[in-house]
Amino acid sequence: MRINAKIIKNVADVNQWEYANVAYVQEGQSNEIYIQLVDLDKTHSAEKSTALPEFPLRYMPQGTVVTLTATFPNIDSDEQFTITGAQPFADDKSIWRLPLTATDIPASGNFIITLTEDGVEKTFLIRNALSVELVNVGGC
Amino acid sequence: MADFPESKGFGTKAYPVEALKTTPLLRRCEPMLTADLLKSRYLKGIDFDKYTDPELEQEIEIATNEFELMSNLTVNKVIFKERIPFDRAAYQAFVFMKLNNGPIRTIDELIIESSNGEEIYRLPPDWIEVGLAHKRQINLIPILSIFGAAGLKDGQASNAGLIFIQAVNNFRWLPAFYSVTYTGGLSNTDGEVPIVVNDIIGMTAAIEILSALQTNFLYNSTSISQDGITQSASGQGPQTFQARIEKLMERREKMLKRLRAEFHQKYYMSNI
Repeated sequence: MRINAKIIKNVADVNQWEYANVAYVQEGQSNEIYIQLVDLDKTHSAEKSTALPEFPLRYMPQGTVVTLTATFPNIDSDEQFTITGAQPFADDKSIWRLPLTATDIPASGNFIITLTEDGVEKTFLIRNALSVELVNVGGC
Repeated sequence: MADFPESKGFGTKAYPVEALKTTPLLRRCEPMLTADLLKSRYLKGIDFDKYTDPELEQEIEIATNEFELMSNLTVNKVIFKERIPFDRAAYQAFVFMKLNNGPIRTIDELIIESSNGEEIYRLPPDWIEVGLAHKRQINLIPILSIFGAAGLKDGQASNAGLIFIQAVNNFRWLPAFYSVTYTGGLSNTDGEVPIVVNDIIGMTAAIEILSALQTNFLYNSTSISQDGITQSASGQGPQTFQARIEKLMERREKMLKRLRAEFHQKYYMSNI
């Protein structure tokens, strides 16, 4: 079992959402990232790659107490931060919402998810899943 | 840098090189390349049924690593620790040091360290000259308007350290003397990269993808005939994307060469 997550967007309810390659976050406003937990080892037979499946099956977290946190890495420990996810829909526990305030500005690239199911932690990396659009782009 | 309270940088942007202030009027930096951008910029009109988006993301990752190796530049910030020899010629040139990785954003720590890892003497950040750090050069220039107790470790003179420093007067060369901890990267903001870097990464990924895709075109020409009716078609076969690949390679080499010139300098120094 390889638990991971896919970015989803335009989330209205458990039946209305779309897959996205990256979550776009804009500086200067609050943002929301939606993810769907998936099991990379459980795929449709039509998948072209079993190593990197495009649409793996969703994963429903097990346990009575389930929490999820997202850590946005940065080389400067002052800039790194962790936020707690929320399950917006009781009917689909694979979908999580990660709220970012206007001052939460992560770095573009990978980020880390820690899923805790009744005290058992599962940590994984979502690759190149975040694209942060900054305001001052004249230099870096 | 939170982990290194005495970090010293020059206060300029990583890109454009030596820029002190920029405006958003022209975009020069952007987030790392994504699969969507790769398709839109370099692979327009290409049939992608052989590649999935996670596979394209993987190609970008590989191309980014290749770029780091080809250019000897670090895309995102990395903290390095490097041993520098004591070289009398360099010592007399204001302790000229050329580091292996870059472009350097900050010097986080500069110490004289023994071979068993013991810190002998911590050099004060005030003495470190970082104006050419983007080209990996640093110097120690202890000519300041105020000489204070900056050179002391924790406010105490380190006698052992001073003896060690005096002892080096007898050496022309010590293979490991200084230890420099520094942060290198192509941007002051983690996750942002110069657009030209994304361009090189994108071209590298596109070259690989196109060269893999063109192997699917097995034949240069095909013809079918039945009952006196024929149809034939010809193309470039396994060379279908060759012209595009060569153009991308040529442009990538030009860009890479120019980028290296921005962040490297050649120098020769020896002891006879």
